[in-house]
Amino acid sequence: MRVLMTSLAVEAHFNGAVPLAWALRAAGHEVRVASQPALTGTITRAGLTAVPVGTDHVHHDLVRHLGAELTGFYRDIDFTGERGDDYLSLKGANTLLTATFYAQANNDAMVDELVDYARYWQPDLVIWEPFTFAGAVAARASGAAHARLLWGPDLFLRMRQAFRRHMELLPEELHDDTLEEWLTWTLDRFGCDFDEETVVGQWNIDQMPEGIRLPLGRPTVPMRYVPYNGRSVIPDWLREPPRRPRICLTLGITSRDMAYPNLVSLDELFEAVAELDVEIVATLTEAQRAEVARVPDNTRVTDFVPLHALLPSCSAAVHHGGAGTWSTAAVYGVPQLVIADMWDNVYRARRLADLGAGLFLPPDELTVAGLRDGLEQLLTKPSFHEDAQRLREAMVAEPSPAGVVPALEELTRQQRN
Amino acid sequence: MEIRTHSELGRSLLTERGMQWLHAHGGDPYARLLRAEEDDPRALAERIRALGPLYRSGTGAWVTGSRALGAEILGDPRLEPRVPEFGLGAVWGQGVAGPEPVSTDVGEPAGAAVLNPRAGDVERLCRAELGRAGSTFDLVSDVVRPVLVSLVSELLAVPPGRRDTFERWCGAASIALDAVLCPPTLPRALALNGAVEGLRDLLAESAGSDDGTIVAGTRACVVGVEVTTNLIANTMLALLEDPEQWRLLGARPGSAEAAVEETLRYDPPVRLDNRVAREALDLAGRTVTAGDEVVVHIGAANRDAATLRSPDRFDLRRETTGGHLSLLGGTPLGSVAPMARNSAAAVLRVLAACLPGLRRTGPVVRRLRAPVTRGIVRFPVGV
Repeated sequence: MRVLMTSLAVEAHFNGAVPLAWALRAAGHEVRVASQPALTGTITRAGLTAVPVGTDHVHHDLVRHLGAELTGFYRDIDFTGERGDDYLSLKGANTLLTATFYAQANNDAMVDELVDYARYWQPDLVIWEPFTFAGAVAARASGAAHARLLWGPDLFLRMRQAFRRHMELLPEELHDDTLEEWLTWTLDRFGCDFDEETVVGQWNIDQMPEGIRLPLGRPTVPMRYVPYNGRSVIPDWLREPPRRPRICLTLGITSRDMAYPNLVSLDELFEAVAELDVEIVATLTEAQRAEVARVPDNTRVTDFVPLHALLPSCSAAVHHGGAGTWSTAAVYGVPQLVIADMWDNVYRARRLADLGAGLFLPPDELTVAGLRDGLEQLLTKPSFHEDAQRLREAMVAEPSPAGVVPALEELTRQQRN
Repeated sequence: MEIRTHSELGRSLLTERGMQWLHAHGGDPYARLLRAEEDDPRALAERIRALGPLYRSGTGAWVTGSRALGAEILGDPRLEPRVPEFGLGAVWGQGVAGPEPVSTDVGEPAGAAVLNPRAGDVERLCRAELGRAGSTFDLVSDVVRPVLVSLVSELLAVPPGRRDTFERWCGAASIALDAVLCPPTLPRALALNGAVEGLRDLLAESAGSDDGTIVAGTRACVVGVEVTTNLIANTMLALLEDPEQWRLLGARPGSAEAAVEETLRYDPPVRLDNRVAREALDLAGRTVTAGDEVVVHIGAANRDAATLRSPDRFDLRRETTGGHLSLLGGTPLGSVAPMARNSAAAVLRVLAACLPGLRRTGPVVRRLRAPVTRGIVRFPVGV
């Protein structure tokens, strides 16, 4: 088959697609990865064939420009779906996310060139990152089958289903679905009609295990999460087994380039761990490090270390709840302490706590003593380790990327007939 | 930004609409008005008045809910009506939309026949529509709007073969007043643009090439029908809430004008008047710079307790409406005022005489993204 994979140019969103791209390629399929030019180096570093399309998107600039007003709005959106939000909140989220994120990250030039490329290359299957609706548009315009590759629980779809349920109870004059509106005129450029599959894909490829995956009634191919953390080199120090329990502390890669305000004070994080009898490995950029008044003696600061190499040696991980970090810790059975307040991060943190495999600390409830206490619990209570192992078992029980290739071939064949 | 394609127009409308939600999220009352969702309009008006005679919204606009300051702003030639997009510049009496201020007096068509319909014509058309309506019908979409579209179409001598198209264009143009402040969806924006162009061309064919008549006719279709429809719907909403006043109108048909005037004050068909400062000026002790947006919240100003007793009560026996600010002269809105007043009073007289038992049978539905008109699109009634 020819498989066109696509992701908006945000590294963390792309990384979740790499092992599947390798598996498809290793199975003999032609695989190309399309994104805005900014991601070309990242794609080729993963050993994949890049197709730069359009111009770089300006979502990051928008976040920087609008600052706390926008991030405050994002923070108030209930991505977990557990607050039981009313129609107005769901509509606000749909309107604002389409205006400031979906339509920005899928800029016209990118959509147009992706469609051009798909019409030229004639893929059998387009696999798209769940916010990269350009992939669905390109599939519709070129006649390919298309699937969404989820990197986390499908909160977007749950929120969308709730929004549409509410909206459909209203008189038709009051229907106002901004995402549909944007996709309608976008598809119209290529002579296609809107269809809800453009939003939800023909099927999902879901990397979350049972217990985390949301049952939303869509055709789903479950797939084991295999970490890919970017260009990876093992540092010498990692060969030494830790003499004390090792804790990984990271804020992920996305916050490095984005103008999101700091989730927590790094000084407070360090103060909480300074007196513990542990070894801390903190991944911080130079800029993040410059904010820190004092790095404790038990802490090694490094700009980057591949989490798939580091985490197997760790007894706990402290992080922001991002999809890649969370999943990598989960698949290695490492108990996690997640400090999260935004996007899908909150849901993952809560589910983790529900399953006993870690702790969730909302940043506004965070204290130095609370953080220290949480870490001590993770290290001393065996239940955290045991439940984290159970989560790991659930994850590795799913078929590997190589294992799902036949299912993707079959689904593509069905859609194309 | 120059808009070249539909997608670019859609994107610019989408972004502007997103910003309205963003500003509204912080609780700014004017931004909440523009968002035009579930907020209680009276509570927002009160909050705006409570912020002082002139407050600066997070959207950048200066906003007043004061009657005195509102009257000053609307009468100040340095504060001009905003040149609307969507081809509406011509309807507002402006040749070409652009940065240069253009006098609104150009082609002022206040004397045109279409803008001064005869009460007898309105009553005849209204009786005819009521004759077709059953025992339950929609007051707005089955009676009021068809009456007004027929009226304008007769006065403009629209050829019978073009009536359906004309009706469709009038419908598409109904969002014009709201579109000036609240970005419509792309299909509605395109339909509005097309309707305004189509109406102008049609009028140029049927009414001759007299510019004044074309402007007057287009205004009647784009602004007049909508303002009059909302004026009637708002009056009926208030009257049917208070059966005693509805009976009073039936007993004294001569109070129809008073009911219309009270609605213009109490629940105006055009709630926000948006101006742009041509030069720097002082308003209520604040310095407004050239290019700033200045908005009079007509709905709030008309209920300014400083000038009126029990302003939140609809009362058609009121001796004075306290000099409300609705449909003032010298503006495109002022030029449709005679049409709105006369036609509304005529329709009310017919409704009260023919359907004394009229009652609302369900909730009204208001149009989406309609912060200026809060236009009612569904008004189910039974006789």
